[in-house]
This record gives sequence, structure tokens and C-alpha cells, in this order.
Amino acid sequence: MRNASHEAKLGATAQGGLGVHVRGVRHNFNGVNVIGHADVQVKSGGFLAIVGDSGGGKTTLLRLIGGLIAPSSGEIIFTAPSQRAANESASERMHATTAQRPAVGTRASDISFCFQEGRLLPWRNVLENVALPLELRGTPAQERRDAARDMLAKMQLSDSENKMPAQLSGGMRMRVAMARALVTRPKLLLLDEPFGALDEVTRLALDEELRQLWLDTATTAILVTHSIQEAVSLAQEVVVMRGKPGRTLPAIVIDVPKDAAHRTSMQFVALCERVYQQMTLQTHEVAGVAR
Amino acid sequence: MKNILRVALPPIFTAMALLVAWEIAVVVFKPAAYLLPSPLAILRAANIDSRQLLNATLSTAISAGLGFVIAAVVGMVCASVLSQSQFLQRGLYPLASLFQMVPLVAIAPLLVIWFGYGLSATVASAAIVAVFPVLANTLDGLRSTDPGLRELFRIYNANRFTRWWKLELPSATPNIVTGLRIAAGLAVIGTVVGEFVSGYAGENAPLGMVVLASMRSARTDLVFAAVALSAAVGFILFGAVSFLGWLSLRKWHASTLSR
Repeated sequence: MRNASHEAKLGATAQGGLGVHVRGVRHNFNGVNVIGHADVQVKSGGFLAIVGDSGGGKTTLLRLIGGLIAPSSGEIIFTAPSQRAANESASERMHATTAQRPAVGTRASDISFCFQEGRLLPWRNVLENVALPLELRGTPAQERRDAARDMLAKMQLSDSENKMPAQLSGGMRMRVAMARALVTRPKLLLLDEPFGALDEVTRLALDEELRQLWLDTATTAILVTHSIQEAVSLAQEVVVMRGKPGRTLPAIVIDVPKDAAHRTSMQFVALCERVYQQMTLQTHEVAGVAR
Repeated sequence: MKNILRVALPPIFTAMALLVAWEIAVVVFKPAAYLLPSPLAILRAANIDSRQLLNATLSTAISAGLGFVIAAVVGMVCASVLSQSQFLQRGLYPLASLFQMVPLVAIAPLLVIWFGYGLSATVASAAIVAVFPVLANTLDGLRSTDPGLRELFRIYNANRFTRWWKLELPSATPNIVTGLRIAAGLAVIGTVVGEFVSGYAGENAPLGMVVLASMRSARTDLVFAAVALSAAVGFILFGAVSFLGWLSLRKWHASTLSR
């Protein structure tokens, strides 16, 4: 199932995120055109948010990028981080070139997903849930437990390692899901409405935690959300997806400093306003902006 | 401990009250002993023949237990195989359910022809009635695995065996426990039916034979005793399975958490 040479290329760069370039992607599902045209780019280690109407193809786009489904047409290109390559050994540097992958069936272990429902195994405790990706990859028991414990410690979840998912609040469950997504040290983190089901206070706290984790791990992150504020406060660039079939609009660069009070700054509000305007464009206007 | 008492006391009280009412009714109305012996009379008769009854109970319990284990293994293995292939499922599952419709009493003589008189025929009889609930419930459980979790395992490139062992089987545990609990009761019924047809007299005659022999000699008190003991065998098997099920689910499943 896996493309071995592709794996090798992706695996060669031990640190840093993957660059992703979605070029002219169109996708049909069961004869219905879900994505009309998607052009999205995120640089290595970047943070991109995709916002848009529900049912507008955001999640489908994320699944296409993650290789869970193959696009009907267009291509998705992955780029290994180039500036980091200088620090790597010579042999690794050779591989630090552009890697293209046919998205069908190839799920590189460098890509991690985080879903809204958390998707924890209810019969496993927190530690065993976090260790799951490593377990399925064949990592020895002690090694994967150590890695999971490290991740839990980093997220201040160590006290909960023996708890079962049913004993956790919704927010805690999402944090465990995040720990699981990050335990493999992914180079690309795909987040599908991760905090969509949480209350506002928890959501703000987890947004901040996610941002911190993204900074620490230097992974590339793509977040699908319906919250404009969440998108603008987390991402470096926001792409709006509109219409049926969905089309991506040109990215909006978020150049607001992300300090504690940034959510109330005039700049932040103005950027939210810009995203909002794109989200409320009439259908005929969408076609004009998108091309 | 308090919880156990709260659950156990009401049925115990009800049973005691019914037995007392029965005893009083027999004392008052004095029915013939071969029609309805009193609970105390049954107890006395059972005490006199305790050795034979104990052997019979043991023999029935062994046959029901073996039949149950065979049904559990065969049911779970078959369900696991069927769950991996739509083709097999469509071809075999309807036949399996049809098989369930054949009355056991009617095929019991066949079992005697194939297995001869004695333990193997009664074990087979127990296994045959007990296997279907295990198969059906396990298959249901395996098939209703959360699609989100399935996708998760797909993302992690888990192979078929890993997916079955680490995802589908654990997630089917509640259904499997349900199937096994039903099977526990059925295994005893299957055993006794088998004993009616293939049983044997003598030292280790099983409960089914005790019922038949006592009926022929109008020892209704012994019939009652044997019936009560076979019910007890079923109850113990059911209890053991329920306890194991509770052990495997207590930490995570809603059926055990909410209490």
C-alpha cells in the first residue's frame, strides 16, 4: 500500500514541517462535485486555517491532503523543509528535495490527524491511547510508553495517564487526542474542527495550547474550522472556502502579533472582518474572486 | 457490599415468599404427593438421594460447560471470519440463521446416531443450541465498530488482523458478553434435551435421565429436585459469564459505568 521511496524521502528529514501545495484540485464524491477548484499553499512549518460553510468541502480537502482519498483531478505536492537541511548530515541532505506523492492510499507516517470527536478507544486508558500510533507502527512497548509519557508530561496530562476516556471531560479528551496526534512527531498536522464541540472557555484555552505545541514542534499545521476568530487567532494564513461545489478563495495573510491580548486588537478585528466579507460573498462574486 | 445486598435481597425475598406460600398451600389443600410435593418434601427426598443427584448435577454441568465453551469458541471464530468478508456473510449467515430454526428435539436423535449414547451427544446438543446467539451477537458487534475509529486505524496503516484484534474485537465485547449470557442458559437446556434422548442410567446418570427415571416411578419430588438442580447449573453458568463480562467492561462501557 505504501510507496516506499516516498516514505524514505519524507522520513529523511527528521525535523521541521512539510510544505504542502494543493494545485487545481477538483473532487467528485458519488457523482457529486464536492470541490470545484482548490488552490492552497502552506510553507514548511506554517499554520494554515481553512474556514467556510458547513458542507462546503473543507473536511474533504483535509482528507485529500492527508491521502485518505484521492482527488478526481489536480495534484497535491509535498515539500520537505529546505532551510533545515543545512543542519542535517550529508546523506540526509541529498534526500531533502521536493517529494511528490500520489495521494491514493499512501499515508505517510509523517502526517497526523486530529478529529472533532477525539476518536479515543474507550477501552484503553489515556497512556495506551496516546501510544496507539506507535504501537500500530511496531514500536517496542517500553519505547512507545516512554514516548507517550513524554508527550503527556509536555501537555501536563501525566496525572491522567491511567484514566479511561469516559472519565475525562470533553476538553481533556481533545487534549489526549492532540497528544496522540503529536506522539509520532508528525511533519504535518491536520486538524478537523478539533474544538468544535467544546464550550468557548475550554476552546480558547485549547487554541492557545495548540498554538504553543505548534511553535514547539515546528510541524506544519492545517486547521479546518467554522470559527473565524479561531482561524485568525491561530493561523498565519486563512483560506476561505465557498459555494457548492466548494472553491478556495485567495489566502488572507494574518500579520497580527499573537500576544495574550491580540484577540481584542483593532488589527485582529479588521482581519476577522476581511475573512467575514469573503465568507458572505454572493455566489457570482465567489467565481470572480476565486479565479 | 451494600450494593450487592440491594441487588440480591429483593429476588431472594420473593423466592422465599413463594416457597413458603407453596408449602402452606400443600399443607392446606393436601394434593397427592405425585401431583405436587411440598418444598420441604422435595428437600427431604433430595437429601436421601443426595449422592445420586450430586453425580447427576456434576455430569450435566460438565456437559453444559463443555458445550458452552465449544459454542463460544466456534461462534466467535465463525463471526470473526464472516465479518471479514461480505461475500461469506451473504452466503453463510442466512444458512446459519436457518440452522437455528431447526428444533433441537428433532435433531437430537441424529446426534445419538452420530455420537452414540453419552457425553459427546449431550455436549454436541448443548453446543448446537448455544452457538447461534454467540455468532449473531459477535457478528453484530464486529460490524458496528465506530467508522471513525476504523478510519483512525486506516490512517495508521493497520492490517486486517491488527484491526480485528485491537479494534473490532474489543469494541464488540459488549455484544459478545450479551451473546455468551444467552448461550449460558441455552447450553443447559440443550444438555438436558440431549440427555432425554441420549442419556444413560447408572452411577453417573445426568439430570435429564434422573427426571425421566423419576417420572416413570412417579417420584415427582425427585423430578422437582432434578429440575431445580438443572436450573441451578444454568444460573451458575450465567452468573459466571455475567461476572466475567462485567470484569471486561467495568472500566469503560456505559452498561457498567452508569450504576
